[in-house]
Amino acid sequence: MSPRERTAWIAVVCTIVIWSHYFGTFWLDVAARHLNGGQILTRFIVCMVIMAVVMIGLNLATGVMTRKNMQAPPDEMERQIEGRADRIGFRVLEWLIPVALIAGLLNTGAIAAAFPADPAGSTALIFTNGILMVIVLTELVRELVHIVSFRMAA
Amino acid sequence: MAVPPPITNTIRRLRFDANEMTQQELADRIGMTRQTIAAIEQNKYSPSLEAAFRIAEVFGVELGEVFRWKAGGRPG
Repeated sequence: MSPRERTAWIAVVCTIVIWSHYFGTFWLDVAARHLNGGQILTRFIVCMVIMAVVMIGLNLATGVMTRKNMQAPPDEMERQIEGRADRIGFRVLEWLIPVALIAGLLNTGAIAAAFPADPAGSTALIFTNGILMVIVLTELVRELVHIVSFRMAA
Repeated sequence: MAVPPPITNTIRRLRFDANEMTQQELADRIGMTRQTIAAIEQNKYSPSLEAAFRIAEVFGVELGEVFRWKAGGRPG
């Protein structure tokens, strides 16, 4: 397994575990009609820090264990795979952003009605997290394209 | 990479003739990863012209001795 494929596996596993927890908790809060901006921000920062620490730690550990130079520039096949992943990721983003925005705009009335204490703040939180979820999904797709491409060439 | 390119190569035999050169050794000499060499050898990836010339240079042979076009091959 090449260092870049290993990095993609680490990113996919970390993304699924950490961001599933974050978004799962967020949407459960939405369903329970209980949104606390401060708590959500704290949870977001904690998830970001854990993601960064775990990814850097695992990449360093596997790099040391396999004695592979992680700083080596990508070769032409890796650049081609990277390019394909970027193209597919961009297409996914191009479709999901409008879908998320339109879904949000069509439901602003329902969101405001569900959170009478702070309709504007709750709407902003839901929109922000919807867009954030789209970005995370796009990154997940990109890394999955890396893995599939590397497996097809193996 | 989905459709195999209509190209065959003799890298495996050339490595054998070059004192059983490993894929990693060949990769190091042309600045690629072992995985990319394996993909080229199995005809799962078509290298650039520059990489093809570099591979031929390592074995000291002409490009046509490393890569051959399959007659009647259609564009993938």
